[in-house]
Amino acid sequence: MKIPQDRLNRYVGMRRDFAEEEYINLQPIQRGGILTEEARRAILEFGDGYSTCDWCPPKTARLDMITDPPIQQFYQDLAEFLGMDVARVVTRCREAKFIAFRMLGGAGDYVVLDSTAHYSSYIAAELAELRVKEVPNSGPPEYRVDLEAYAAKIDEVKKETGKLPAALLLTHIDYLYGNLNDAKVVAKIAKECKVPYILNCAYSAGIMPINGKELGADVLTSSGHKSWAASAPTGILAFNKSLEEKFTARSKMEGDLTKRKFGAKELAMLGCTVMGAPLITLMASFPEVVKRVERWGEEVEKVRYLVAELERIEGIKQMGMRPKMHTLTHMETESFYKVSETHKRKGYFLYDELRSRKIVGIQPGLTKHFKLNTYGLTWDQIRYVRDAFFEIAKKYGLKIS
Amino acid sequence: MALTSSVKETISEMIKIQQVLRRTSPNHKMNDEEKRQVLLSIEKAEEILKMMREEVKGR
Repeated sequence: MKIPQDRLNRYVGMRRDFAEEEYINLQPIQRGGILTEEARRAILEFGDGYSTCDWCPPKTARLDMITDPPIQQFYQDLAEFLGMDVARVVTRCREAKFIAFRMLGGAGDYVVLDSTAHYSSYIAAELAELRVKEVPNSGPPEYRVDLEAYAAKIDEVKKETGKLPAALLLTHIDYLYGNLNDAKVVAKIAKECKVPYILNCAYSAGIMPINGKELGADVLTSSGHKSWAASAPTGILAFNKSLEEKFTARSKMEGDLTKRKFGAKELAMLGCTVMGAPLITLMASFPEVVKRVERWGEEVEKVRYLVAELERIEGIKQMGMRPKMHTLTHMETESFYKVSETHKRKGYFLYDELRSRKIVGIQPGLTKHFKLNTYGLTWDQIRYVRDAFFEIAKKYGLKIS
Repeated sequence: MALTSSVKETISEMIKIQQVLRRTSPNHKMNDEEKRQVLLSIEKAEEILKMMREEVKGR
């Protein structure tokens, strides 16, 4: 079929509306994925399809064996940086979770997970034919996960099925409130009950210091485009030696006619995983990522400052656990909601006001509550955001203490 | 060959400037060091572009 030229023209000269050079973007999922200078250079060099595979096949025709660019070394450095034994780059964090679930459980098994887990944790379990048992949280205003309840949930599974769950999964930082869960509490339970423990570090590894061994994780998952200054799609699956055989088992398939075999390929990874531009940005940003996690304390300082300032506006309150331990933040903004009720643009007024001040990332239409993320903003940008909210509050007659 | 590396060097200088724009968005108020960085990149890029022009003319 031929596509008309006017339709094809839509793909020419594509521009992003909210370029980082022009706007402050508070989108909760975007802050940690902003490319470093080196990654932006590398993407021009390696943007072409299989560009990372110029020197493949090496001795073993597999992505993680390529030495130029230094992918093999990177995989080792990545594991070491995370305090794990083995690492693989996969397409997304959800794929890392799926692989872990698939290799640890069988159809009908349970995974015990926190009730603030991302939807992709549930879907990964579903595709792996697992069932889920949720660990409750305290509800508003903290939404604190009852970490000790993992033990009771394991007992529930045992009573129901006569066997242990396939795995425990804890979301280190939840996507709704940015709560930091104490990974060691669940690690202790996992160890006592002898259940493999998956720590989902989508919002933590890559922006804050993480040592999987210290946290007691058997498996660690993360997201390159969310927290490692990498292009999408990039996920990280890291695991301990004890699971290496299981997770990196080779293909045993043989063609019935050709008798072809693929014994070098890792089955759970479906052979080679992420190559080209996404992988190369993850690698190019790595030196800066190693440095930036050491500055995590200042990032927390900045978000606490902004939250304290925004709470000076009447009717604005931070949701989730206090004090903030992560830059992803959920604000309840009752006063903006009241303004929206009589505003001609209704719920969109706040988005419009922010956008006119070159701030984006707050979900359009939301005024009762919204999420934001301050990760990587400079102090000047933090103050700019505060001033913008103050200006909007004053414009609509809201008090600032 | 020289043209290829010159193009990359020029883009690299532009990326350096973009990084400053990203750090200072949306009003691009630059401190002295940031201004110095931007001006230095512009100078370098101008030099490379001049060389490129000469090289292409000489072909």
